[in-house]
Amino acid sequence: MTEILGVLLSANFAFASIRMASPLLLAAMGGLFSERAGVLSLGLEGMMLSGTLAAFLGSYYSGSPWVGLLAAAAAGGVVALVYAAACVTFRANQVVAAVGLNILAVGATGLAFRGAFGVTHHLHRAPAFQPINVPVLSDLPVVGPILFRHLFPVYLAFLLVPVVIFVLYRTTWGLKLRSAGENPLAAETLGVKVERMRYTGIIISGLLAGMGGSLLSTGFISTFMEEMTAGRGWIAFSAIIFGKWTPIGTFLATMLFGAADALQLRVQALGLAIPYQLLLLFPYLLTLCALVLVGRTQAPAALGTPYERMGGSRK
Amino acid sequence: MKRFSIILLCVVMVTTAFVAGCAKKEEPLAKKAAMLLSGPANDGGWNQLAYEGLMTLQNEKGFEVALTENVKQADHLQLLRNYANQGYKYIIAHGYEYGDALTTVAEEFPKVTFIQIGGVAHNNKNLNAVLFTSAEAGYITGVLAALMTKTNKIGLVGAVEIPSIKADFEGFKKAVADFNPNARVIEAWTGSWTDIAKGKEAALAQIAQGVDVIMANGDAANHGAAEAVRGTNVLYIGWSRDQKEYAPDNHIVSNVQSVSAILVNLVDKGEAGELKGELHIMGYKEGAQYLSEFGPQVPESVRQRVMQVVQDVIDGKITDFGGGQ
Amino acid sequence: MTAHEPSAARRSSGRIGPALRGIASSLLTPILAVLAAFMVGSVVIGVLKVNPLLAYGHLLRGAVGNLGQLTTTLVSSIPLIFAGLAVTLAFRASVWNIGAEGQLYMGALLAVWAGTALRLPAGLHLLVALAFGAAGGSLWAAIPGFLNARRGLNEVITTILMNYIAIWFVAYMIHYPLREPGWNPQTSQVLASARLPILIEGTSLHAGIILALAAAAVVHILLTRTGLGFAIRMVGANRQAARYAGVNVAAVTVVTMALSGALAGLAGASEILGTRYRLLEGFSPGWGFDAIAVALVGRTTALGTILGALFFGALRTGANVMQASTGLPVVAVYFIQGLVVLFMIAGSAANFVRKSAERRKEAGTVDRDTGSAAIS
Repeated sequence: MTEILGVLLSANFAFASIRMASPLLLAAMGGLFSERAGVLSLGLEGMMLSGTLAAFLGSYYSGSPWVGLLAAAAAGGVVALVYAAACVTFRANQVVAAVGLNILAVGATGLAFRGAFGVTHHLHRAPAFQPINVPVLSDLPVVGPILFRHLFPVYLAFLLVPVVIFVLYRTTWGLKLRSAGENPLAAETLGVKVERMRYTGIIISGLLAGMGGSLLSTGFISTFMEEMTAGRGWIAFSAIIFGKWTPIGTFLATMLFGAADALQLRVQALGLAIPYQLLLLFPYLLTLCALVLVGRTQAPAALGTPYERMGGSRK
Repeated sequence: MKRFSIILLCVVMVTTAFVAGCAKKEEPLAKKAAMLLSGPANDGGWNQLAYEGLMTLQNEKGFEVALTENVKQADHLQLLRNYANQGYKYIIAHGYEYGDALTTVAEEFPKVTFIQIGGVAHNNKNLNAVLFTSAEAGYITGVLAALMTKTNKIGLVGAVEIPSIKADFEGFKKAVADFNPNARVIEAWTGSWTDIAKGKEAALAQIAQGVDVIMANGDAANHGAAEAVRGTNVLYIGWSRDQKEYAPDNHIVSNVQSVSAILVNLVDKGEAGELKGELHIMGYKEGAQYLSEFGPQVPESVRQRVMQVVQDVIDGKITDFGGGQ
Repeated sequence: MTAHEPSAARRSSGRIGPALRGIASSLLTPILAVLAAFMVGSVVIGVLKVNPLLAYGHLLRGAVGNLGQLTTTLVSSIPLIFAGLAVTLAFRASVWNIGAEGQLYMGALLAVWAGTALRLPAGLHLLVALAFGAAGGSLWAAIPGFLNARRGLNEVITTILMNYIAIWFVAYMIHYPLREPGWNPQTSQVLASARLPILIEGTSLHAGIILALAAAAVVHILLTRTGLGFAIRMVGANRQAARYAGVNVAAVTVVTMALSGALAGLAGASEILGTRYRLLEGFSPGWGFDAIAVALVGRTTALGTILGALFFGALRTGANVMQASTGLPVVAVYFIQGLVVLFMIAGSAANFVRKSAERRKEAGTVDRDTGSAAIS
């Protein structure tokens, strides 16, 4: 027990928690825009996975992880555009559209990777982001190594939180976006272009989820493997709900999950006689328990409901 | 909507016409080998080894080959029956999970030769099992780790707890206990064949505990552990192929496994009528496993001791590898 | 509001048409969607230097080409039918059961325990094992149902989390308490007395298919002919209105989830008692997730779910043969599967929008005070 306490207090654990939370955080911050505009962000997994491959290919062929990051955002954006077309223009059921898109992303990334490299035993590596030590701050005791020695996309993820808060709650655009998710009918009468807001929200979710994916193939890791996102998009989606659709709540939820995962790996490293299967389920169980304590969640009222513009002008 | 339907209708008619015209009958052939893999052939590890073995049969033994990847457990029976019906002479299933289905289908098709790699299902007739001696390989790499660690903390990173990885780890721990009783081995599992990031985090968690030698086993676990050690002084031991390129400055050795060697061996026996449905345990002695080149960090004295252990294993002087195969 | 008139006119003309036309048009969309997906898929297959028509020929042959393949398609549809019905039933109450995967794992676990540990006469043993399977899924699903009804917790997130918990818990059970001695981490085999009988000798087709079809019939009758079904649909259409009408919304939610979980549990149990006879890690290729697509492609009706499951089963079964014959990776089929779902959406969008607009007019705006994701 004291050993576990030691882990919890270690700088290494805090550093790892931030690292492991950051891909989730990027994707979940994106997903917030989609959810607050009234469209479920269940497609995050597919968007992330596409971003993971695109980042790898972009970085591999250009030699720069920055190109990879842009490619990842673009790939996530394209997947999001398809999702938006299905959900907003065609008013399709959002869950089925997302499920279809996620299956499609597994197939498409698998095929593309194999198309590009075939089955060879050579390891394909792409240039990845290197840690940026923030001048002065990274030398601070304790805080420095925990907070200021990360990769660029990790900083991006954390800096996004205040930006998202500002944009969603302090700008007219944010108000319009939220109104599209709360009461699209009323929003429309006040001149908000609900469909356009929803498109924008979904595409932002794709851009950020793609970037979150890039952290896996050109950030912490410098190679690609089929299905390497391993369900992170689902966790990011869960974090939004857990966070009660607020940026702060979502941020805390991703941190909780990242920390729980970092903790279970460290408990494994302690060599206690606990079967690893039980440790692997720990982050999910902890999240579930926390959720029960946190209690009632309030979704944007029109979340998941396709919106038909007043006047029904669709041909 | 109407236009959409019309376009789709055209698609229907064209495609139906073509599909109808291209159903084709399979002819039975003598030199045909088929393989079932539970994951993708380009995983850089377990399945890719098997794929390369199949390619060896094609290129060097002149076999016509077929492959099914990402096979789900629910499809085992039918796929095996399918290949058997199509006149494949050798059907190779790569993993412990095929045991039941192989046992059933081998009864139904007595003339077809079935081979399970990584499992123990055999029937003394036409179903042969091959096991890599993971435990002895774990033992040998464990000796190296035991002699190379300075912090007396050694890490093992596994993907999913399948028997061969488990046996590898048990052998490894036995060797460390035998050669460096003061050293502690800590073990981590990521639970995923594809989650490289988690493999890296598992290794980083061990490094934080003071581990200075890590051995990894299982596709994404290998990739992840190698990513974690790169740029540090932690030494890396690879598995399944020579993984020097995974972490060139940290790699001290890999246990190389050759499914090609196994398949060529078995198929040669089969062609000579000597394959009798036994359990074949193949490893260092049979040349199915061997050590890659050592890294420059490994001193000559240590190399000699490890090679002596290899020789002792081959000669049968060491037989206790922690209870596993 | 004049802009509404043309579409209203089209609607009423649609109603004049006979029921037959309705069935034909509802079948036309999926068929066309499938073909469109194959069309786009063929471009990708062509890029991979395989003749797409040859590939599709093998796919078709692999799915239904002979008795062996046809029965395999049926067998692989069984868990999809059960799990698809689970999603369908919950959906009708506007409850999103994303947790069918975890529930079928728990169902398989309890079924395999009952099938290996209990000693009962044949037949009875099978029934008991099936009941255990249903109970395992049911209990696992009732928890999110209860948390939703009592604590207002969104069932989407709780069921997702419980999937992971179930999968790792089952892995633990396989590796430790239920492990059979020997090389393989697996449970021992279900006793013969608890196995679903094989229907056609020499194939894998087992009696689970009959159970699955019966379950579909039960779900259909439950939803259309019973008071509970009516309550489920009322809660699904409008929770507030259902409450005013005196429906115990919380109870209906929990019961719906429990029934849904029972169906998902049977998906796992039927697979274990019908084909594998024992439990290994990773026994489900993601049926619980595919089930969502199956249910929705089947328009959340019992019959549609059966058709959707058969189609997905055929695609996956055919894909294996396609790869064996052409060397095309199986992921190509995931690609086509995803396209099918998306084209299905595109194709049915016009219909769907029209219907949902109608429904909304009749029932008022969908309003849910629990905050669960409302998808209409």
